Amino acid sequence: MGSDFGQNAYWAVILGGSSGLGLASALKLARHGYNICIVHRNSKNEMRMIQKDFEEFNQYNIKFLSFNADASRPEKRSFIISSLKEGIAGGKVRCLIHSVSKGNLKPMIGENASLQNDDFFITLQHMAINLYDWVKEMFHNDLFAPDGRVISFTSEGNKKAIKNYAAVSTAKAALEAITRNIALEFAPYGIRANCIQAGITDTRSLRMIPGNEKMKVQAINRNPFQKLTTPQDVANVVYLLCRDEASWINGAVIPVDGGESFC
Amino acid sequence: MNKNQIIEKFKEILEPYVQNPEALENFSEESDFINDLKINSTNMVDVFLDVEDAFDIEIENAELEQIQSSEDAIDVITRKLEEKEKLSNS
Repeated sequence: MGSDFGQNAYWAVILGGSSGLGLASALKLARHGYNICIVHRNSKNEMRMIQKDFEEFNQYNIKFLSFNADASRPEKRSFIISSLKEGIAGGKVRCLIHSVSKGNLKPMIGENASLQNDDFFITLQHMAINLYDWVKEMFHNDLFAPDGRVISFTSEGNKKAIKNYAAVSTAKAALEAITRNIALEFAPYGIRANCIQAGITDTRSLRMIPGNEKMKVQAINRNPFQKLTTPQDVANVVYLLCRDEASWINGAVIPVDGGESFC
Repeated sequence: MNKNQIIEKFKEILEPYVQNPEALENFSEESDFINDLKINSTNMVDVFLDVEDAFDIEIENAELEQIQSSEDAIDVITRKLEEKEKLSNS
């Protein structure tokens, strides 16, 4: 597949890019000539598998950077952003993708391990407010391209109540609100910010949710195409949103689910 | 690295996650991560990712699941450091 950009390749920064929607999006953009910077947090054990996935980036004629660090720690964020700035040497970031999944999945009621006040705060910090911190610091470091994109991933849990999902649901609602306000307040600087609302996708994050097997069966049954969303389905739309032609889409929550959410 | 040094380094790692600073000051091998130190359960994964980085060791998932107390954690770190030393001397 040919590069969309030739010599002046843009960069895409993917927070939470070592698996699932983040990795699929990174690979898709790499195939189209984007240079890729992935920020992720994984154990040494997990890194052996991930290194194999990352090897695919070498097949494309692009630059690839990765940072194994907690993206929501301020000192790590600053370190990564300054390393990125150095690494891309005058290049620009076309696209920042937020695919971080770190939250509490606990029931509200129950004797043991029920949802607590701090569970909400920690989940909000990693899965919502973190996006704002990154956009702001990257913006102040003059890293965004003139026609930049911010893309975050939400789910149907933004409006629906799902058992054990209260903290993540709260974070998704906040993530959408933050994305919308980025769309408003950074528009004068050329940034377009949107949320992709993926259908049920069989990722590692989904498999953490108690009852996910049942969720998958239900999703297949109600989906007009009778199948689950794949990470590649979502990555394709990430790519579309990064194209010049998508520049008038701003502040939207876009379902990418084959129609699952209206059924 | 002796046991005290390991404990000191482990306390530094715990510090950003501890929601009860007093319990960290009085840290002992009996300290419970959740009940005493009030570390959020989600953050326990990060504690051991940080342990891997700080001590330059690798902890297997099965070993991770066995860690219930601070004592277990310090034992695993000590053992891993010893294994590493043996490897580098062999």
